[in-house]
Amino acid sequence: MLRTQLATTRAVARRLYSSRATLVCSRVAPRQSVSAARAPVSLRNGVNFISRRGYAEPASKKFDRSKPFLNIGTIGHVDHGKTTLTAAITRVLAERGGSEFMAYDQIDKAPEERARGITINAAHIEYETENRHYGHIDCPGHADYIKNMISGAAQMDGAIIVVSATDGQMPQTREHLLLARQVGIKKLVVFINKIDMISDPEMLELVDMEMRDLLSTYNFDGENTPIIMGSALAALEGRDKEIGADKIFELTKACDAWLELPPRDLDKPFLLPVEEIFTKTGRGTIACGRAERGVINKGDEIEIIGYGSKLKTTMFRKELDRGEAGDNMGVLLRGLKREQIERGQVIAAPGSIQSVKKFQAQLYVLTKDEGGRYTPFVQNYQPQLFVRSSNVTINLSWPEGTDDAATKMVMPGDNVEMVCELVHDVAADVGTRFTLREGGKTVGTGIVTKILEVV
Amino acid sequence: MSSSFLARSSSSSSRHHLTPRSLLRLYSTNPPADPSKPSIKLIAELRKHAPVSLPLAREALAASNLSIPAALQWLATRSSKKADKVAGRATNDGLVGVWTVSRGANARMRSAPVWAGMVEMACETDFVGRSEVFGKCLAEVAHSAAFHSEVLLQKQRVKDGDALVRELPVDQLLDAPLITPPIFGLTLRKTNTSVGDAIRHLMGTVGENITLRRASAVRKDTPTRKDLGLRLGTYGHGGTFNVFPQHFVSGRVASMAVLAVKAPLTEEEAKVFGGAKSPLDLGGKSVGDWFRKEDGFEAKLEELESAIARQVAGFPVTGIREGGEEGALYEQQFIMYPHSEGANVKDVLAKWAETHGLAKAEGGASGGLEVVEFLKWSVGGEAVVGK
Ligand SMILES: Nc1nc2c(ncn2[C@@H]2O[C@H](COP(=O)(O)OP(=O)(O)OP(=O)(O)O)[C@@H](O)[C@H]2O)c(=O)[nH]1
Ligand SMILES: [Mg+2]
Repeated sequence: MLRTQLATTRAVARRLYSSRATLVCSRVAPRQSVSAARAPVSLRNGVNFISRRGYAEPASKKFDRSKPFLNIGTIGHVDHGKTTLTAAITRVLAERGGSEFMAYDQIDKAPEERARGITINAAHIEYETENRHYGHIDCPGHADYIKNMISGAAQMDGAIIVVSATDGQMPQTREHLLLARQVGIKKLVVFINKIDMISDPEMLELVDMEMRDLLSTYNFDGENTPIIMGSALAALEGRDKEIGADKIFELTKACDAWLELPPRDLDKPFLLPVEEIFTKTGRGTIACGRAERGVINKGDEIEIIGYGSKLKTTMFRKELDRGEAGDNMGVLLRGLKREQIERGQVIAAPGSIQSVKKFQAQLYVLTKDEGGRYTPFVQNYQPQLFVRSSNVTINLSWPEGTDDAATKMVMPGDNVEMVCELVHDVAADVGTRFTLREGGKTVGTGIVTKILEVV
Repeated sequence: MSSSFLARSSSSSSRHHLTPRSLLRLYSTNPPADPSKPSIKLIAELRKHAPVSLPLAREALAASNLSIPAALQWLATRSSKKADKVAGRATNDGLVGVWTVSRGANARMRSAPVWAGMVEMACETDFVGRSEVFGKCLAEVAHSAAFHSEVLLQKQRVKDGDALVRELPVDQLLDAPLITPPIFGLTLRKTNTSVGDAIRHLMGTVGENITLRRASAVRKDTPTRKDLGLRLGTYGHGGTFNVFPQHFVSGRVASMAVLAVKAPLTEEEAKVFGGAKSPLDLGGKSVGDWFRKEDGFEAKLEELESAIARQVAGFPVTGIREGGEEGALYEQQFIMYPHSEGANVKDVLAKWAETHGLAKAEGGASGGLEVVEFLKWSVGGEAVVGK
């Protein structure tokens, strides 16, 4: 039964693939850019081992790719100076040769046209410090942050939270902190901006204390988080060096020192989402896909996870002896029958990922203009969940203890936290992103925030 | 705040050094050395009541002997100057709010009116729109709209015909006294505040232009029709001031729906009812008896009304019976009602009436349950009226 269901949804899953690609299209982060070079798996002669290292062309040749890479972004309340700060960073680093100067209006471009699907209304910029290479995201509006952070279109490993000294923390400061926490950002650097407008040093102490308090409230390390005070505008306009350029430089140093590098994809445990399966007479079963993370060697033990399966086997042969994240590859599995593996499962290093049946997630529900639903839904709505190459029907409900859960409705454009119960299990972790589809259109995106039931 | 906080080698990065002494002063629970220095706790507390910037909050407290009520008063005085400055700026955000005074017929009072006010208040950013002070003021204005509706509508020539929900003249509502709902308890406001004054006050507090974009109200009962009772359902999506959910709902979209409950009385019976005997003696002779006959009748009806209001708010309705499969409320699948089992609104209503003994009298007259009118507003959007 499951099988027939899978067969019919396969076409949909394919389509999702291309729509996923548009979702991530404007990322220029080298760490992710492997996905841009997705190569078709060749089926010719049933000989399937294509190992194509998918490194994208560097966006700009002058960056030194050997430096560790980190995705960050500016977050914070409207008008507190996120875009000005972004421009200032590029200017200050440009003077030191680590960036190309991007003027404010180059960053804060009005979107030429609103594409259907999730509009990635964010500017992506790259710069380099002494020992790191950063991809930096700046979003124009509050709604854009929410969408981008949940969908992963604006992936951040760390962030600079900008707070204007003239206001102190404001509602969006809080909301962005909460969201940052939920999408897995563990460390932040604070930039208290516009200090050129404050004459009373005690005011700055207050903002400082309020921010530390707030960071702790949202489970960040309020005590030790670096807080830099300066004026982004002064730095951008090249005046008042001591509160301008110097502070910006200090900020980039704080980012270098405080924000942690995520483990490189290659250092993570091996994971290969299964996209297609073949039988090669006389040799066995071959599963194909693109390795998402890690490295695999001939003879390594692996696990097949998802759809009720938890098979252990060894990778028997591969044309090349080794495959790694970003490679399109087929793996020949020892002693496995064609029926024992399906598209949507993953091949993973044993014990490295759980198969999940129920989880809590932060969801963004697309509006009609974004190609989503035009009507609301209530709990027990059952769209299709697409994660990696798998596609499962899920049931959405409110977390326990929600008031009026039976009648509470979700309208397009809402950002909500709900419980997702899967018809059958798939491999997932906290932080795994997915999309929700219904009748051939994407109706929402989400990120797993809590695992509730594993198989 | 923990002592480890104080011990931290704080802003090495900061130009202005935080000395442990200044921190101690600010965090101390003992009376501060300088009595005019507000503590961060106090500032945070004030910012809960009024969403003003940090420096302003501190200034207000310092000028008011560290008293929160006095600081709020200080802000109010200052705010009128500020209001002049921001008036005239574009307002593209905001909320719609509905205050319900009475939901209509019930077990105790058959002829209780459906009585509510609905207003749209616009502001500049969603930050202000989602603040508590904005939500609270919206509730007061909606409450005032409900209370002044009769007087305001008398002045106006009847142009909506027999409409139940009527548009109120905004300029006259602004001049009318603000009537704070009694359940809000005491407020710091002076008496004789007009609705317009309250909005100006809010402008000063939040530093944004705020406009009253439109107002409507319903106030209707049916004293002469013993067989009829009116009921009201309301819904608001995404509002943040949810302190009195029985009375006030708000959101970027909000709706009101008026329903009529008709008991299966013949016209003769309905007329006779005015006689000497008490309603209970007559047994099932006024619609009020249906409310009393069955345990939980009212609660179940409330559930249904709320679902109608949600359906109106969430779905692209254009009329009650008109509008075809897409737009007619009655033709839509009643998704917002948990017990609809896939039926459309019309069928659910019919079935509900039948299940609860409203459908047919032994004598032959038929009663029922109907949506008689609805109104939906979304921020900055066109009104959708169903009749
Ligand atoms: N005085 C002063 N003004 C600043 C400073 N930094 C930014 N501004 C001003 O603050 C305003 C808002 O700056 P933006 O950089 O557009 O703020 P933003 O956070 O990107 O705003 P949104 O993208 O709309 O959320 C602009 O008028 C800036 O010129 C500063 O250090 N000092
Ligand atoms: Mg900006």
